[in-house]
Amino acid sequence: MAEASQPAVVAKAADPFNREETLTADTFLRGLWQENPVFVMLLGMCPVLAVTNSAINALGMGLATTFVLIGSGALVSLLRRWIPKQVRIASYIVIIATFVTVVDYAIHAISLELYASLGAFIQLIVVNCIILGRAEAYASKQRLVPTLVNGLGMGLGFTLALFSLGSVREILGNGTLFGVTLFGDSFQPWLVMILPPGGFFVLGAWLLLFAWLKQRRERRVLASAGAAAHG
Amino acid sequence: MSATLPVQTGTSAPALSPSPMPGHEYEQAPEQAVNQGANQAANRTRTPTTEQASARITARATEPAVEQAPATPSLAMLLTLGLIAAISGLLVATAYEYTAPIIAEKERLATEAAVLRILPGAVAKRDFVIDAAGRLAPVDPASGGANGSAAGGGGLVYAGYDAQGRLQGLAFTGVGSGYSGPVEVLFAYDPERQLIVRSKVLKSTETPGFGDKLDTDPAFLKNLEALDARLDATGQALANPIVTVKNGTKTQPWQIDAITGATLSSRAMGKAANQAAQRAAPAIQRSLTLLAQPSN
Amino acid sequence: MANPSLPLIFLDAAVVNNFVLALFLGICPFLGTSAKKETALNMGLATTFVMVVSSLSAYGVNWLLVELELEFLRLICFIAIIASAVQLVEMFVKKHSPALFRSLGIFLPLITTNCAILGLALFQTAKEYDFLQSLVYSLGAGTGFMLALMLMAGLREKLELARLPTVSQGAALSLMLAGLLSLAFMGFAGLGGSHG
Repeated sequence: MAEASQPAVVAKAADPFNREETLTADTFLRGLWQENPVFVMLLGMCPVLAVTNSAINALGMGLATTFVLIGSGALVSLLRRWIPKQVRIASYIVIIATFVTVVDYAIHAISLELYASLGAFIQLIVVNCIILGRAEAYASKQRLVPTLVNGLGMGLGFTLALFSLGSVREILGNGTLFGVTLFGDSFQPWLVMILPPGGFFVLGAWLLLFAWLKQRRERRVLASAGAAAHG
Repeated sequence: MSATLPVQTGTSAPALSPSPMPGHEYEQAPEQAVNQGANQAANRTRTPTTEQASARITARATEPAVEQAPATPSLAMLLTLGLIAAISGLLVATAYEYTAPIIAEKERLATEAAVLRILPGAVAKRDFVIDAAGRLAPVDPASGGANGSAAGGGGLVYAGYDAQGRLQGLAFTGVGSGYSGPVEVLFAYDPERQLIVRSKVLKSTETPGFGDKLDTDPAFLKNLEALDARLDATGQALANPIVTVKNGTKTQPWQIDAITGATLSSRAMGKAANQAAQRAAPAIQRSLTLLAQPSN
Repeated sequence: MANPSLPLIFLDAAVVNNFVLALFLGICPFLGTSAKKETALNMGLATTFVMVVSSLSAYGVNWLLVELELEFLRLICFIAIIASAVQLVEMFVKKHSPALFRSLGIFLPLITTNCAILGLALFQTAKEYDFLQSLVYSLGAGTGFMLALMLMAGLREKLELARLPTVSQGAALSLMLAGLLSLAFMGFAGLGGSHG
């Protein structure tokens, strides 16, 4: 999964408080694919399954989480030198809860329908492991700008994952995408897709796909390495 | 940090949550499994949650040995927490102050839209609450009486008027428990004929494809075009409680024919209608003169 | 709304609207600790304990917040309660059963981020349950969580001995299994009849 970044990991572990990262494109791109919170790190699963019964819900949730990720990351990063180690988790949680409350009001004010669809899961962003994890592992150690960029990347990666789930579930389970009917009247929606089991199945299917692609790539690498060794 | 983590020993029970491949070992040779375990353990050092937890455990176990600043004085901790609490309070309070009026306005508009849609011909609405004497009393929607919006249960009664101020009908909400939770419905009521004439589901978590037929199935909706909600002789309750019956067995105008395959959802509609009518119809009938007056 | 009876509340939380399989709360620990029955049981018990403590504290704090008209602080207060409850449980477990503490390892502090607990507090507040109802609700939720965990653990233990395509091993398989369990639990819908 990330054997190449092991030296970086070890180095980071060696001097955890002094290693500040330089801002590169990788800071942003990591969150999209290589360290995608949902597909790779399997974090923040609860909203992934619960609010992806339609594409618009998925997008809304993803963007809300991104906002909280960036906002809380920024505040944690700004205050990182002043937060004592012993109370850091409590501090992060309070900061995160603040931004979640703000985004809760914001969504309520922007769209009553979206607010009703997302329901309690907006407030549950607080316990989304991604955000707390990022605060602990990244925001507390990095400067403001890399934190913002990384947060954006992670948030977008999360949104991407949510959207891929939400769109599949909506298309198969409702025959629509963003409420726009895609198929004719003869299309019989696959109802289970928008019900809880469907969430599990679709996520499982995506992971299966990625695992298969990875396996295929590894086999090719092995095959070409083998050919090179012989040839 | 990796030294303190439980290293994977090749069994299929990883102690740590984020790792997605518990069964991986079975496809590999033993030495690969050990490497895999080491890889995964190192991998997990990057995973945020384990870093956080392991850092805590490390900090607790090896406090004197870990190189860090001298133990932070309590004052510093309190100050920081205080600062964070202050910032946090400021942000939340500001957001609340800013959005509360917007939200209240949106909900008011949504309720108004729902009421005007269900009472064709109406262009304005007035809100009423059922007072202790069982009569309607006007209430100012801006003051947010009873949650402001079309709340279920003890909610408001809405009267719709046309441009000339003539009463077009009344609307009130009812709640009934369905297949997967409460179903909230807005009903349109004709006070002269004492009938429920239309329904609109406001909130429902019923199974899509079955429960949502409550709003779309034409045969079902016909039930609600002339649903008898007559009061009995005392004027305190309905002469015949509204009830949902099995599909095809409807004989009386106060019965609702259930949708086949969506019995519980259909029953929710019946319960909602009954609850709503029992609550609102007597009060409405007692306040007909008040309602007939154009806006006061 | 008809006041639901206590057994119905329990049944609803444990089975009909199972927190994991129907409401999608607590998925992370569900996938993470369901590999072995013993871990699953321990995690379930610890979580149930935290749930009950948090639920009752949340009930009290919410009452206070309503009195003081400070509802917008609800989320922050709830999460603080949960974090404290977890700390409490950690200390309790560490003192009375160091073996259990070691076997749970990192998962104990991670209960703080278990959406099921915060979800529980938020739902019971929304449903306006009183003290006794909250207690029963949290017990039901914990039982349901444990049930889902144990079922999953049993299935996964059995599957360890099966020959499976390598692509599917790991999370993909767990999720498919969870989907099937969820489908099965849908059969309980409507149980308890008129309970809303």
